[in-house]
Amino acid sequence: MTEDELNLWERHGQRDEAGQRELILFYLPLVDVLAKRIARLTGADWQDLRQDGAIGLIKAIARFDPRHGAQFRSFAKHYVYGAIFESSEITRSMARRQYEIYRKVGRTRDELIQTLQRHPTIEEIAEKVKLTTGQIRNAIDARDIAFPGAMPDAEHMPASRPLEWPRPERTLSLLDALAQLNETEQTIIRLYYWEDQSHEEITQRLGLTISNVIKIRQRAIGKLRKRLK
Amino acid sequence: MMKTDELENELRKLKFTHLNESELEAYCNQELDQIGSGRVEAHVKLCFICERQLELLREENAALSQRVITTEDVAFVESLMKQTGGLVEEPSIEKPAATARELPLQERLAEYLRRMVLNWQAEFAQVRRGDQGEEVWSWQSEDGKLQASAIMEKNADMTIHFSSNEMELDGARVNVRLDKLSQEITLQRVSESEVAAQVAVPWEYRQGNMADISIEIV
Repeated sequence: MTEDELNLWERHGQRDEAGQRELILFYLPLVDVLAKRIARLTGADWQDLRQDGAIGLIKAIARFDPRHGAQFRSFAKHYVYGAIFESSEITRSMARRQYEIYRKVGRTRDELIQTLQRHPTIEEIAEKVKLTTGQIRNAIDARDIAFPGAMPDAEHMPASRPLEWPRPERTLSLLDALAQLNETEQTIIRLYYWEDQSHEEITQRLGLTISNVIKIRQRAIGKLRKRLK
Repeated sequence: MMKTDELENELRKLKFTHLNESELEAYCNQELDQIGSGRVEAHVKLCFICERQLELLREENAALSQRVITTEDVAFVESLMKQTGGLVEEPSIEKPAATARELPLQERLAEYLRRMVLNWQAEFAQVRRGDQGEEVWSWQSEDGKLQASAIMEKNADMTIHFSSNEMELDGARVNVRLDKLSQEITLQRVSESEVAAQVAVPWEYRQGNMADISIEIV
């Protein structure tokens, strides 16, 4: 949260009416962008959706407790989307239709991962499901409306290889351990494991000798292994 | 000891792990360190769903950071505040009906559950927890007869506990639905003066919409 936001929340906690109004005004642009997004997908009038969304925002502000350490924006989106979703049949039917497309896209993506042995591009999926990339993006946007907060890994984790996805605790531990490495070690890990660069390419990029790159990478792995023991 | 090749495989797979909203938000706000940002960038190159989520988040952040509040906005908010009675009178903090304690047990339980749901704090930061887990939400009915709490376990699963000193609730069946998770629980006597039940919310369900909750008598 920014300092401005924190000050507003503090005033809200003191039940200062002007402070409450400022808080709603502060987040109103978020309602506008979400209402316009749904209007784009449904053809509804965004000003109508804004009215419902703003009521959702007011509810979110009333229920949010900044002491929990969560981000208000993500919290509020559930309420804004929820209020719009509840009040508009056109939004509900659009979201259901688009969600079906989204599921189809998800299934196709998993199939293509198996076939191609890599993540497919949006164009490859579009071709396979006979939709445009714009239609697929719309389905992703609408899915966020119908099921705000749901993450793709929970839903599209292929049943055949669930163990390939690290558990969050393990992921967090690994990320913590990575954060302890020095900058050069982190850069080499990132380039080698996540950007698939060879030792030679890393050498050219960082201006180090190849033996140094290999040594630093091995040292970093050693440090990680020690921390994760 | 873990073999080096297993660790290297895990490192490679990190870029395939989908990003959650807080990671994307931290990335947008430039709050991630080099390695965190590197993982986000490597993943969005591979995953058009997370890439799109990032685009949407950037659009929202831009709207908030470039806000221009007009007099029409101020009038709109003032009219809404009048319409809704402002923030203070939000239904989640309304007082229980004076006769709540006199209601028959079944109706009283339904009323407790309704108020519990209204007070559900839906968003929990996904942070590491201590060995014993951490209480992230708690609620108690006005008359102190029913308590509930949510514990974030060390492995990032969540457990919701219910307990009551109202012994007549022994055997009461309640359905808890949280996003796509739906589970029926039965309050059972755990001591001379307490009935209790709990619901486990595995991590994968916790990624869903935690605001979408219902708790109803079966």
